[in-house]
Amino acid sequence: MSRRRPRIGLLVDWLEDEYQNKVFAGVDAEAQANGVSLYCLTGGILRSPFRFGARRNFIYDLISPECVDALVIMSGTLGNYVGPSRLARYCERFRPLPMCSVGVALDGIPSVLVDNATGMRDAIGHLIEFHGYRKIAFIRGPGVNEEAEDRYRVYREVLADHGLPFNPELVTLGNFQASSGAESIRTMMDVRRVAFDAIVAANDFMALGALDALMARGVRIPQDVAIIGFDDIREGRFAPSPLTTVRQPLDRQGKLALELALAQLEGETITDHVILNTELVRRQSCGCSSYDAPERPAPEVKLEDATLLGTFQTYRADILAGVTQVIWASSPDIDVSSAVQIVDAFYNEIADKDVEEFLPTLDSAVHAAAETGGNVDAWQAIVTVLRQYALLAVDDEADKRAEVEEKLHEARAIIGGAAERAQARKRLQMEHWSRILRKSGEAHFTSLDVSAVMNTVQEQIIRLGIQSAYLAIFEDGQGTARLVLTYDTRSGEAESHRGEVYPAKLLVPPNTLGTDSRRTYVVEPLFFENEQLGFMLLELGPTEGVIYETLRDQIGSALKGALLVQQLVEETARREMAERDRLQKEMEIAERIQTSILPRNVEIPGMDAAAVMLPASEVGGDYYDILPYDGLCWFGIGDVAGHGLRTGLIMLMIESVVLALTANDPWVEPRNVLRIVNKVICTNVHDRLGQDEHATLTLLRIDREGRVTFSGAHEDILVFRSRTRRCETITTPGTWVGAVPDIEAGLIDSEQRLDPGDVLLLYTDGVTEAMDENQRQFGIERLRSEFESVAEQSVEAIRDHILSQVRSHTARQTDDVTVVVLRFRG
Amino acid sequence: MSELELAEIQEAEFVLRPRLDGRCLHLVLSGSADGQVESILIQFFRRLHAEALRLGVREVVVDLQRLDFMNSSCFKGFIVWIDAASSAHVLDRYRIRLRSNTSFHWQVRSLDALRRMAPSIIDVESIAEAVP
Repeated sequence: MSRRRPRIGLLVDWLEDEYQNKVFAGVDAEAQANGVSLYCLTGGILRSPFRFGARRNFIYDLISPECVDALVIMSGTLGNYVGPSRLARYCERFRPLPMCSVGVALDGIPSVLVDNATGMRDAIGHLIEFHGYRKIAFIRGPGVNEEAEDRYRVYREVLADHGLPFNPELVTLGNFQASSGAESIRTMMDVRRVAFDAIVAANDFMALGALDALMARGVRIPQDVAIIGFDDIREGRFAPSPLTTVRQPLDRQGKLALELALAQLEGETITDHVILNTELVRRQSCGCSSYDAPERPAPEVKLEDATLLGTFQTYRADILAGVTQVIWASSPDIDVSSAVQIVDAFYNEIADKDVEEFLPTLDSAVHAAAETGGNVDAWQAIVTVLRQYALLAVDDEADKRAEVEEKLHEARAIIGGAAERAQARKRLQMEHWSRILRKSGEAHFTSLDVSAVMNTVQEQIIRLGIQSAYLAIFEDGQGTARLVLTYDTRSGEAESHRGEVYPAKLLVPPNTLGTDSRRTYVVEPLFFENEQLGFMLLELGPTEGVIYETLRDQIGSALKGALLVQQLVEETARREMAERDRLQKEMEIAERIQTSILPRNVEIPGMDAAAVMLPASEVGGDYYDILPYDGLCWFGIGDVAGHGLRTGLIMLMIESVVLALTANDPWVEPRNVLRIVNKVICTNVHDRLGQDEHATLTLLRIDREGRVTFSGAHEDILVFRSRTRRCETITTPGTWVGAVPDIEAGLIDSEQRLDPGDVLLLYTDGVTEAMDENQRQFGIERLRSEFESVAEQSVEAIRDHILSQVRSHTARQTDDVTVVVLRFRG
Repeated sequence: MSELELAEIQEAEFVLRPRLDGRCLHLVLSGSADGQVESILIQFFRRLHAEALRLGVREVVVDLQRLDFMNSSCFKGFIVWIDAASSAHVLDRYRIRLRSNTSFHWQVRSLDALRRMAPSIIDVESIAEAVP
């Protein structure tokens, strides 16, 4: 049975800075060498108020023996705001995983440390002894950071050793950020108004912040103030005044930390901490020259063999020491052994004219350096050393001197050309990545749902050369995750896991990652402000950590936007559903109101009546009523504009007022009833409810003699005359109720007379305006015709025939349909 | 004189074109006004009175001769407008001339009821044009 490949977790705050990137590179190189998989979790500084530190800490909560087998913890940054003892307690949660700390000694955890004291002692000693500074300020790191405090302690010790007074006014408290370096300058110069001639900072970032702040004030570096940092980050080498610093072997720390973690996995018990040396790197910010070669031999020294070869043989060790020193100072990336080859090649060629190996060797070395992204221009410093020593031997020989200068000139041209190309290539590469990130950032803005965001992410990571990526969003807190992106160029299996819901502490669902080869993943938390959205695993492609941080920023924001849209869509759908339910209930209530007050089984002396109302689901508001009294009967028909509960209530008001008025005085004139109905509706609806509603309404009073008195605007009345067996159309002059407060001027009572056998048909616009599928209305003519065709049948038969004709005509009922049929028997 | 600030309504089945001609505002309605245009039409009529006052028009001519149908909910817009116009101060009052087509039964019925709301400012001109 094959043994499972070990998985190591690296806890780091983020990858934008060189310090973290270099340690990560060391851990990764060692992981590759040992064939183990690496997960770099970028969860921010614990409880940090900066860089969203605390907001991203949640990613550390995913760590468990189910996703990693051992941990490397970058305590040097992670614990900056909690201190070593609380960090050690925090790390207890990861037991029983074997752990190794980098940068800070944690109780009970093997740690890889650097000798802060020696490097810092050398740096401050250099300022005092070599340059003669006396008023040296110090910018401390975070108070709880053990390394920062070590460096501060050494500062005080060195001052004491040199008999210099300690002045607390020259000490400020920083937080390892460049901004705190600048703030320290403001404090000392503007607030305390204290003079200083040199500054030592507990790290390079703060030193660079101070350097910028001083230069902005017109202070010259190093002529007016010298500055020294700690760490040796790349930015320091390219500062306006290249930063003198204390170099700590960052990638070596990473490699050793992984070794210690693996050793524990193998069962070894490690109790001792490993301490690595630091070294002073002299550049210009302290007052030195960055290309300073070792001091050349005094002119009066008599060379026993003052030829070039003789000089070389005499001084080879010194030359190589000088070369090594300039490499150290300018570019630690340069392989010293290849520098030695170049030195030897130079002297071989000078000694033997037939040998041509110097320039080809140099060309090959600088191209190799360019390929790996090294500092090619730094090779100029090696040429400077070569020239210094070569000129010792050829000072008096013009021809020989010209030959040496010629070769070295060619060498400088080769280096210059290679450096230019390397810079151009690097710039193009950065521009390429920057373009991809910018375009994908723009694309994210237009991605309005999660799947669109994922498509953009996938396109983005393919173009960035990232081989595989997985993105999960939390469901129900952090315990459960749903995989929304799976992309893997080497595993067809990955896609099948998309959409899978799984315990987040697994990072990815079981059997998702291929087991064919080791991989390194950057695990980035996804969050927006204080909301934890999920996390993503990006396989290490480009080594610039800033790319992964930018992706995290972009994707976090885009994902939040998409989730908001999704929430909005769901909320809208939920509200629409609720609104539909509410409307449905309202409709049901309105329908109950409408139908429950309809007259039932009305017996009218001397008349037959049949009526029906079919409420529509969308629009409704039909009204009809039959109110028999002694010697007469009232009929009402109308339609309230609109639909829903309000319409039903208005109809109920009309019904109540008509009933009350006619019951009070059955012989009241219809127009007077309408006038009061209008007043009631206007007051209640218009004035009190602030609504614009109106209704068509015709009221008819029919007495036993067949006299019909009617008033109010509604549909035309159809009357089938038994005598002529033809249908007449009677208009209903008047105006609507509820529209304006006073309609008296528009109201008139009209009269008609019914003979025995005459049939009167009342209806609403749901009948005449019923539409077929071609949007043709049923129409008044069709109604007349259908009415005439059955008018001599029973009132029920007439009602049912008209209703069936309307129904068969109608494609979709959208309005109430009401039919009232009355036959006057006499 | 200011320009008319009433936008044309152009829907699939319904068109309303406003036009200002001196102190006369013309509205030409055509098609069919049903639930699809109910809210937009009511909004239009709500703005119409304010716009008429702003422009100081003396007459609004509403041409309905090509308007096949208007349901009762859309008609509510007309009523709201007529109510506002009839309540206006006497100096601001303007006449409303409704050009109707008696071929459309609904117009005969509804426009008469509308006229009766405010007979002092509304005239209905009826023509019998064959429904196209």
